[in-house]
Amino acid sequence: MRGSTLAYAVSMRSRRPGRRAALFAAALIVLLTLWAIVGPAASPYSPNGLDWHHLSAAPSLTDGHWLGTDPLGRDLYVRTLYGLRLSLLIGVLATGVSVLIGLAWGMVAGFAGGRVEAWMMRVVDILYSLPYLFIVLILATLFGRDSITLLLVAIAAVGWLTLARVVRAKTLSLKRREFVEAARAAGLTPAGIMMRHILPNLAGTVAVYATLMVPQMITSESFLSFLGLGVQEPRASLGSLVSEGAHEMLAAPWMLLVPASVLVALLLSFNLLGDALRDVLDPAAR
Amino acid sequence: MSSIRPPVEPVALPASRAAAGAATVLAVEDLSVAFRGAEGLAPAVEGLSFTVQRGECLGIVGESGAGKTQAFLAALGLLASPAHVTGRVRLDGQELLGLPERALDRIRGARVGLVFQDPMASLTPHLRIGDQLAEPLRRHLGMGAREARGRALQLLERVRLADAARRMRQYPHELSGGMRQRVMIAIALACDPQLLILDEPTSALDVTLQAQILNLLAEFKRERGVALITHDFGVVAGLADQVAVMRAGRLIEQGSTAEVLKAPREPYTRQLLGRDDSRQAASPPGSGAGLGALLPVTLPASRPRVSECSPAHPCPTPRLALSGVGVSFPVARGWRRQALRALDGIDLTLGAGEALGVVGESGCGKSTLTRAALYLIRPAAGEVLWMGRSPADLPGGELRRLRRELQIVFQDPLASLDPHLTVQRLVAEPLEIHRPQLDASGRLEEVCGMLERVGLDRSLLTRRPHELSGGQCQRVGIARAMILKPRVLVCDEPLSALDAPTRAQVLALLAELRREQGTSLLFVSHDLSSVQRLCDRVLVLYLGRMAELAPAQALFAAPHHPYTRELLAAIAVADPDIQPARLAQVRLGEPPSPLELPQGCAFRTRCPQASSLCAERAPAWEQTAEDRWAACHHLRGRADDMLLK
Repeated sequence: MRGSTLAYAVSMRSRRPGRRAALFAAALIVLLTLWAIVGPAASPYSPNGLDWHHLSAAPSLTDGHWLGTDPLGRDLYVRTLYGLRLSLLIGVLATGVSVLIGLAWGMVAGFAGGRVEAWMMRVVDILYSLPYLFIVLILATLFGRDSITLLLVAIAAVGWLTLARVVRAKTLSLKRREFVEAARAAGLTPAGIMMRHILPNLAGTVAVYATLMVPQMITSESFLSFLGLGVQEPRASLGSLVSEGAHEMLAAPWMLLVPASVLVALLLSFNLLGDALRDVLDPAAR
Repeated sequence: MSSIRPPVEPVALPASRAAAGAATVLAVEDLSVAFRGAEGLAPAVEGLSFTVQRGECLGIVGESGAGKTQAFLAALGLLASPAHVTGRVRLDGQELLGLPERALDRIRGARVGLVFQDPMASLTPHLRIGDQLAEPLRRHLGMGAREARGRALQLLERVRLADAARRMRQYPHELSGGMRQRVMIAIALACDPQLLILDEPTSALDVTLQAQILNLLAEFKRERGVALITHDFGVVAGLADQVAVMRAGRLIEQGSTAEVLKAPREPYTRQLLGRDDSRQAASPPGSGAGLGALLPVTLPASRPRVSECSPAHPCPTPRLALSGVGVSFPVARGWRRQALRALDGIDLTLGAGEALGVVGESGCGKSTLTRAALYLIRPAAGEVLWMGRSPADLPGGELRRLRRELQIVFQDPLASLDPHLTVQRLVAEPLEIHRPQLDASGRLEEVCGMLERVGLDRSLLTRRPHELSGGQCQRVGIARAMILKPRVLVCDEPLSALDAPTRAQVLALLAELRREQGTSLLFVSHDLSSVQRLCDRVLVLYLGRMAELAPAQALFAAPHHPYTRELLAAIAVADPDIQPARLAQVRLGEPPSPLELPQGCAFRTRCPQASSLCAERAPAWEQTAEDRWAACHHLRGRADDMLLK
């Protein structure tokens, strides 16, 4: 009677409260992205324009500074949206780079096995054990702090390591499955087996990890920017805005609250979506 | 459904039993189970009624999904999900349905003992055997720790677990499958239950172990009622007094074992028994070896035998030849590394159109042999030849091209198909690799033709493996293997994951493909009856070594090697007249660990004929008759064979 039990389980799953939250999260991510692209046009102000009449102004509907201004009179609504743009861009790009490297590295290591695998995974272990912040500091002093490329490289350099380990483990278990043996017996080349049978079966796991990695990357970027190592003035990211707002926390709380709440909403959405994707694509991982 | 008969009333029971004053242990009346699903209530069991008497075994038979297990889980309040259960279930007169959980807890394990199919899954991995056994004793009988240990040891000795005192301190993973099932039976018997429920107690075991466990269970039947859930009529024939056949949640036939097995009324029962009206076995049961008579045999078409060639007429190159092949795996034992010799000195040839069966208990190296033959595992010793060419000497591209001539069908049909590919792409894959010049429409045509050949509908093309039944998956696996018309098809236990009727269909399909395309078959199975039906010659493996090689009919009629004899004796035959006697004669004990092989002949620890010579040196592989070889110092059969001539 497995059929009816299974049907029951499936019907229970569709009723799980997480599903609605996931749809909500996905909608919020799309909305925030669209808003970051078209939102600034709605305001009369530019992100770097100084308004000498409204320094550290509180949010107000009358003067056009809907979410207030910073101590230099720059409009917080526009700056937050520009920050959101940059944070999203860095988060998604860094994730993309990490996934590409991590997927290729982990899959080749797992599939090749033996000495190749041992060497490739030792490289991952070594990179893991390097003090991350220390390296970023050195890179920043060498190449100058005002480089988004540097920021991307620094974040992605750490991000792919975890993915490589996850992908390798999954590849190892896939490699022992009978359908891979069947493909070998059918005369498929190792590259063919990887592309046709391993990669598509990794897709679910990788999609879940990638979704959960975006908020991690954004957090890393925000953290580096908060420390002053990331995005520099006059550019803004959510992290640098939170950092600036933190200085005026008591006098002008909106300077912290506005970028911080956008950041929290963004991170929460990605995490909710990732968890929901895991339930759907990778039920065994729960 | 018009085919349903009213359940047999207790009044209609045979007089002999009524005279013996049989007491009803379990009475189930009109039991129905339904699950609340997406589309309302889905019935799993409908209107089930039966009784189990003291000192008697009721066999409940049906395919998987017939509701056999669900009925008993529901009766004991063990269904996990909120199922809808109605009817009456009385244990010794006490109504069980609707009892509170606490009251049921006092009944389960104490008054009802349960044995499940998978002994590994039903034993807690981190608890020692002695502790697991003591648990129900302390809980239900209120024994102290010391008393419980003493009783546990007695129980283990009663289920004849060898070396019981040492086993008490071991963990489940240290025991073999057969030993674990003995422990499960000991646990079930711990509180001397009135009712023993056996849910497929031997389905996960080899035929030799199955026979031993059934033998043991037959002993415990006397003082209590036994309900035996199984899909195997051979198991029923040896143990059950009454049989109930279930199909799709309903009881369709019920009666004494002799009645139902000898003269089944329902066509479905006949089908389960493998006795379709179309090919009824005519010979009387109990004649000859008892086996050949009961199994419909498809005789293979005659073809030139390897033995018929002479220096004047040289043999054609065999399609597959293994000479002296050995395979070993490194195994970690604690800190030490040791080589497990999975195969040792395997010599075999597979001629054109020939079917060679490979049989033996699990762990004897059957699967390893298939992988070595296909060069998926590199043999540590010896040589593999494909059509006279050694894959070891071929460059990678050449090797892959030659692979199209040797294809494999796997044991687990679902696991051997890539879950994300559709049936169309799965079957087309070998074409894409080996016939890249074929365009999409040509490929589709070939795929559809092949699907038709294996009896699958075209509408399945877009399905994925998990949307197919086990039998359909295995057909896809066969279609995939056969689409390139290989010269050799290797089958690694292709039937063991399938239901009995599906099994017969797949077997027929293999025989047909072989007849039509002249494919050679290397057919590995632990199911001796299917080997007998399909194969010309049979190789018996014991712990990675060759024990006997002989033409199938000759082997089943007169086995030479003592191991083959014991193996054949252990097969459960669906004939209640002879099966209990066959069971009682089973002698084979547990196989030794492949890491600690006995000196000399590997089989001597279990061999009824073992002598001091067997311990001294391993027997040579020698010819015992025309076309027959065996490795044994005491080839009694050889003399018999000479007499026959």
